[in-house]
Amino acid sequence: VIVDCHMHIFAPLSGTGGYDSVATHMGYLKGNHSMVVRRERDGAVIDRPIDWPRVTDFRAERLGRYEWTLDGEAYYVQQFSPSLQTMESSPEFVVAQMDHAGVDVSLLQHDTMYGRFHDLFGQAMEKHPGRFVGLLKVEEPRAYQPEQLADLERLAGLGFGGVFFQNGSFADREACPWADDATFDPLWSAVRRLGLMVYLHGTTNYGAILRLVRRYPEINFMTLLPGGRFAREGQRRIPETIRELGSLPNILFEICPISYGFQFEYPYREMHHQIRPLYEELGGGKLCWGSDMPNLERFCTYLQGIDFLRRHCEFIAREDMALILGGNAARVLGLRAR
Amino acid sequence: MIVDCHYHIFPFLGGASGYESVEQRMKVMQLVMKNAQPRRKRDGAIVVEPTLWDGRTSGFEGLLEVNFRAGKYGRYEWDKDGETYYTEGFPPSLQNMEADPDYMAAQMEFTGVDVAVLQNDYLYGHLNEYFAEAIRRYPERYIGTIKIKEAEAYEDRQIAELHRCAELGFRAVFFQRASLRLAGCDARVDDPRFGPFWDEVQRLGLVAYLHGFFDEWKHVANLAARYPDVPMLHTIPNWNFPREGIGRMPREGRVHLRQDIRELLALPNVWFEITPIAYGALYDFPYTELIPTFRPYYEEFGGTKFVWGSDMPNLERWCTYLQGLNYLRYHWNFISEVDKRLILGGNAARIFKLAPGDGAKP
Repeated sequence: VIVDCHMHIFAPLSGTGGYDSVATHMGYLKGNHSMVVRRERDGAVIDRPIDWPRVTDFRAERLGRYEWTLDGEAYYVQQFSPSLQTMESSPEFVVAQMDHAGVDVSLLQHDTMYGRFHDLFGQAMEKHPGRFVGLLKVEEPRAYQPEQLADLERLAGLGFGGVFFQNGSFADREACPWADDATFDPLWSAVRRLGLMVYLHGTTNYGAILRLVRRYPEINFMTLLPGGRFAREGQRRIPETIRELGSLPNILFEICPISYGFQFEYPYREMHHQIRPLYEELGGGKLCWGSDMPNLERFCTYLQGIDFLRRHCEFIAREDMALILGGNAARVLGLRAR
Repeated sequence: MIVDCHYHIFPFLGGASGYESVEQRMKVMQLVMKNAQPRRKRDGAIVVEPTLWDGRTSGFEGLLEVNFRAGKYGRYEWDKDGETYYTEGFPPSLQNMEADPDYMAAQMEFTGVDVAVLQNDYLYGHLNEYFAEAIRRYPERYIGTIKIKEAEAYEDRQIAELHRCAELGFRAVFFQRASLRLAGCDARVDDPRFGPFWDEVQRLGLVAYLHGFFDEWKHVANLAARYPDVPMLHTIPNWNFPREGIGRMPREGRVHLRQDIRELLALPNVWFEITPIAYGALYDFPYTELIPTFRPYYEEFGGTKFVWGSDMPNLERWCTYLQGLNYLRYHWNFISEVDKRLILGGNAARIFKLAPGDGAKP
């Protein structure tokens, strides 16, 4: 079984995205991009900061672009591949992509920038049984409050498999109160009771992650593969905190090619130095794979997004590769073979 | 300047698009795809037995009534015996089976391609009007090729269409072997009956795009020799460079190319297209497996006889548009930098008389 732990479906980004208005949704998108800003008339890359408060016509309507004008000049960011012509990633589109690439199941991440899509995710799971596992979204800073917990309970009952928990939703992104603050205990207790897994997004504070994961051994967690420079010298090559975290039985690290595509060309062998020490020290049982489709198509095809790992990380043993590409996620998500 | 000599724009593939009806168009597509190995929709299984025709009767008569149609996400679909089948003719990212001029211009901007030549293959429709509008809106981006009915190319009506399109700013004519055969015409490309047509192509100063004449290189050479003022470019989405009749490219000996192809390429007004689409079906990017096939051509003729084309948006089945450029630009390093510039745009700029900084403008 091949499980993609990082998939997105979303309604046209030009709409409300499940928020109270288009303006609210655009507020989440405006200035929140990872690709360069270009001047429309000649494609020039603009490196000066954009005065976002003065941008009043920000839109996400077509061709994978965010577009706006400022002082009479039109600009855009090619945030997605141009092939995302209508800025929509419907469940049917994603199923077609999965069929084309040979992916069995996708875990639907629920990032704030795309919107709040409980209904869409629910419909996708119902219409395509066995193909999607949805992650539900809570309002993180107040996720312990009764109405949030009630939502959690309701959505778990609808078949959502886990919680997408974004550290970026907190005003202070360094504090990580969710790790230790007893205020959040009702949330994690409910998550544990409901048998949900948790995707922790947007923090590299591995100390905080370690403390939370250790406190709740019955909850399975996922987070992005640690980055940065790993030592090439010495007997031990990854930081102690990550070693400790990786030694826990209830954490998986997601290997995702999109971050490699920014800098390198497929098959991203330049990233072996990042994957290999973690694999060699933690083993194949601690890793899982995610694509970040449809974003990924900016840099490579969906199939290449698997093959960079499957065909080109020759240092990974065959049985470990099966775990990384799906076995580990299947265990965590309670999937059975189709 | 980077010029993509193999580009497509098209309206919804499920429409009539210049055919008499949607039904007629779909029949043509069904015939073309009758031997495709489809997938069964319910489980993705690859099916080998014929599902589009009876397996015995050639031509339209052998086609089955299966409601052949353009679906979504790059697929053509049909139904047979209660099962739905599909073939992924395009990448899933072609969500609405449409590649409009705005979308394809965005692809060019994203990849850094300056000019694209719009090939006018009948599989996409009869698109002279659609191309004319695109050229009008994007004069710096697109070069249009004209589609006429090849089997009737010498008739006044087709020649009139040639003139009309030339006046609209088209710069080339797209002449397909498959269109001849589909119309029941078994004439060779240099058949004297087409003389009046080629005379007008020459008089109008058009470039000739030849498609699919793989087994008649001598006839292509005859035509090219007869019309030395007409630049002739043969598209090469033929699953690799021509090696039929030999079965492989010889690695031994002093001469590596077939004599008919050597004689053809030796003509000053003939170019071959290099396109990655042919490689992606077999190999993984950056397609270095194809170097032994192309290298003998390059070593014999240098960089002046080849042009690069992508076959977008089809290409995205196998790689991104940028990869479709970079395999050649960054990985086929047996080609000199000077020659890469010629192949990626310099030769096409000369063929189409493009001025630096003016894009596709005449």
